[in-house]
Amino acid sequence: MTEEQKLQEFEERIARGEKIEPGDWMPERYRKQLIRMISQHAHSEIVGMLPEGAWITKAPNLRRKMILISKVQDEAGHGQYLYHAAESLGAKREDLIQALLDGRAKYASVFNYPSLTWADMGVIGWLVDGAAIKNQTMLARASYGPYSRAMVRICAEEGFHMKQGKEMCIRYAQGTPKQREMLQDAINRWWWPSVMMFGLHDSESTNSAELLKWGIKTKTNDELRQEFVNELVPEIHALGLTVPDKDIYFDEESQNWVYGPIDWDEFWQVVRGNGPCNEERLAARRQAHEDGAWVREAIHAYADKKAQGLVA
Amino acid sequence: MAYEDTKFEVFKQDKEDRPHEAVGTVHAPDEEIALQHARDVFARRPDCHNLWVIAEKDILKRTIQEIDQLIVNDSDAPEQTYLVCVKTGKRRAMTYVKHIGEVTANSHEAALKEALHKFNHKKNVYVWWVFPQTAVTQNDDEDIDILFTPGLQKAYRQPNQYHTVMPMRRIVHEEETA
Repeated sequence: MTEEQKLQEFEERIARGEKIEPGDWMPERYRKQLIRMISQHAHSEIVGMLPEGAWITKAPNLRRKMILISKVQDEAGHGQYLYHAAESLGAKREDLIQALLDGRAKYASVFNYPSLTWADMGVIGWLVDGAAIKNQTMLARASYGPYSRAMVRICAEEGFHMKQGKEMCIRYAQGTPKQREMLQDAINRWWWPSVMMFGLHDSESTNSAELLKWGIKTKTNDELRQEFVNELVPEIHALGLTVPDKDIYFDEESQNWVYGPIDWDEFWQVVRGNGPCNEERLAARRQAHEDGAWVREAIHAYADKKAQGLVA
Repeated sequence: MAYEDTKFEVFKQDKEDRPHEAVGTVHAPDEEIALQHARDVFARRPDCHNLWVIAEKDILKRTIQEIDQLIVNDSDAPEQTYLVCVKTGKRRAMTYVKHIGEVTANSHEAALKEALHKFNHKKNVYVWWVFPQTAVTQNDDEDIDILFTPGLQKAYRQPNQYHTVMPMRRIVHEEETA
């Protein structure tokens, strides 16, 4: 078969709804796009532990503390699911992690914002995980088998993350004036970073067409963003709270909540490393990586010795 | 420092009487760490009774199109037990191949030939895997409690433990009737 015939058969398989598996023929570009996406996603899960991890010791009761520990542990687990999925494409985990530590790899910019109060733990769950689930539910249908199966496992766990946050927000909204004020402040700070999580507008997104064609994505950034806004705005209003968007209105004709302009200058500033916490986040990752060096060294030394018959 | 890891296929058995199914791969320096990774990547939440890890190099994988080219060379190697796995159907699923039984043979190729004969009643097979039983590393039964049970005990990790739908509906209703 010529390369062209292989490509045609590959695209027909995707059109039929078949999964592409690690040993199957795939265009080099498909492999590269997947490694880029899966590794960025893995980095986001790993860095995503930090804003919430900071509040574990300050949880107001034991139930909330166990929930938060479990949630942060889940993010670590999700990072592992994804690094192993990226490795099935021939990437090396070590190289991917090094790219993150060197500041060469991207991760979700939303995690470069600080978590300032306990209400942020509710709002991160409701808004940030809520936005992530939109994207992940779509990716659970992705054409690459290991990625889609990792996403199915992740989505099942993210449901807990989102709902524990939403439950907390509903309670604080019905709580004392001080609690309501704290909640509104957290929504004000996390709203736009959450809306930006869906990425650039479709008209500006250079990767979208290819990702859609190959069934890696099945919806566009703006479609997912609109779904998110339509779901969240009425509920936030129902709680007697607002979103920090003076232009937002409900359009009867399209039945959409039409949001105001997104501050893309801020988006690019944060992507380029100038967000409030970029340096702090990477420093924490580097420290963790250095602290774990002896473990990696030990398990490889043990494996080598075992291979040489030097240990039982 | 650059480490070379080995690629392992992971099989998960949900319950004692269920077949082992291939759920994905992990990369690790040896089979012990591979088993640990397999637990962390594939069995943090769902039901699991037993995990297998098998180095990919120990597995003969053939699609149905490749079966015609199967060449079985004479071998003096001793006979041993090979495990046989198949993928049936092309629908999307959470697993790849499924363990269906054993054959005795003295090479991977002879094992596959024997499997084609023994399991010829299997319909719609389009991928075959065979590997020697000795290539399998699995968790000990006595580790089941440590590895898999904690995942089932933490009720607060279930989304249905959180009440958001009814309270939200009540709030919206009160607002509308106010």
